[in-house]
Amino acid sequence: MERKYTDRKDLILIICLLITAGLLYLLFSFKKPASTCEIILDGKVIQTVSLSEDQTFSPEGFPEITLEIRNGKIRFLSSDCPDQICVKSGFISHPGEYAICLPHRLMIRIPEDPSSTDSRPDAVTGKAVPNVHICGRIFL
Amino acid sequence: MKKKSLLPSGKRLLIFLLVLTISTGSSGCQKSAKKHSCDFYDLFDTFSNFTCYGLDDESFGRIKDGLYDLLLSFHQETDIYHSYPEIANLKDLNDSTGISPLDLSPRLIRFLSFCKDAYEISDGKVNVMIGALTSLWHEARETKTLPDETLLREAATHTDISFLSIDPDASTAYITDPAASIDVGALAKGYAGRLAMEYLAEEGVENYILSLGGNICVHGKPLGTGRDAFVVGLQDPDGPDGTYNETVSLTDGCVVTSGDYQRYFEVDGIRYHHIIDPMTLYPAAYHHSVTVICDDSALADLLSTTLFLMDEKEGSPLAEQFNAKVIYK
Repeated sequence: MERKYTDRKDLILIICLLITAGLLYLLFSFKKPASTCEIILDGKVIQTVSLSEDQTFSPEGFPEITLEIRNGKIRFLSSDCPDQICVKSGFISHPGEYAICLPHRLMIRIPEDPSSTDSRPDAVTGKAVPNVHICGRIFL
Repeated sequence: MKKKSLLPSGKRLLIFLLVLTISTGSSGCQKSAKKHSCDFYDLFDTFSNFTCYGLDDESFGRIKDGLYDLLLSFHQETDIYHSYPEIANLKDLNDSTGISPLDLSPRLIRFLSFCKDAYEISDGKVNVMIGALTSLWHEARETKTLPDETLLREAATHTDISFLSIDPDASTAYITDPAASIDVGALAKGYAGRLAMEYLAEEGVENYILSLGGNICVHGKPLGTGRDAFVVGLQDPDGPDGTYNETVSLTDGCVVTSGDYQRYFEVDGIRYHHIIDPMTLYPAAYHHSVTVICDDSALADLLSTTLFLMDEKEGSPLAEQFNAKVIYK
């Protein structure tokens, strides 16, 4: 009988720990959405915009490009570049995500939050990485 | 009646430890090691990123500059669209076809020799002398019209690998057929990754992840994140850009993907992607994407293209031969 009692204690402990784990998981999955986006030209941040307000605008110095912010997400709505890879990239909203218009050397990126336990991978392979069409090179 | 324990004691302990790990793992109280990251926009006509852990600012600045110089010079040497006054490159080689051998750097000669080896390894599926053919497909992609069949067949007669003649002792190369041209797009980025990893090893850089337009080279782990390996997401071919439904963890090695969804154009609702099968002269249709994971970046790049151009059954002995892990989608 003594043995059984110990097992129940174990079980309670396991359940408690599972609940703790569950709560921690919920805590991290409900972390607040990223609130800003950096607009980067040639590796330098030229503008930081808030994602809390829906709007459509052109980044500073790029009337040929239109960005759209909707529901806390941002995307390239239009661009005059030939490949349109930036537009096809679609909306981004999570820390570390980015979309690039390489012909214009312009990138939009959601800054990483160093305090968060970010579950995004360090890199993505097979992404439709843009190429510079003016060079006309095809990578086989 | 004596009730039995719900779990045998060994298993019980294991579950306890597992639950404890899950509970505490996410709080990640490790001492943070400095992370540096930089982007390159003008290498191999794509976007590259170098992220490194555990270096001080000064070391990172020096390493990053050295890496950039190395990759830029290799990019310029393998560029077939621009000439550079300081160096002899592959555009110069294409421009002097049928005229005379050209002096090239020993590094470029080694790369060209690798290209010849790649032809043998891939049984002719990765052929850098395919320039006459890929230029027609490139034009097609720009104009969104299919290339003329007779032009394709004519171009294919100028793609023999033997047209590329290399003299390693004299450090010269020569394209003997005036209508042939070299296109190293299938191999340049992968080989650049190999050069980069060699350089970073020489500099003693322990923990980094380098992405050359999605060709990924990894060494060590992301210090201070609590993770024991870098995590690479595999693009979902059917999902929006940047979405992944599978990840690969690795501490040393390379991941390269060849996919039909990355660069393509459509004619009459049919997609024509950018990986041309030299046997059929048309884009290959075996897979949506092939991801190769192996130790060497140049080999990973070569294998991903090769395996993309054959069915899984034909490809598996080749993958085994080079100890490569392959993920088909």
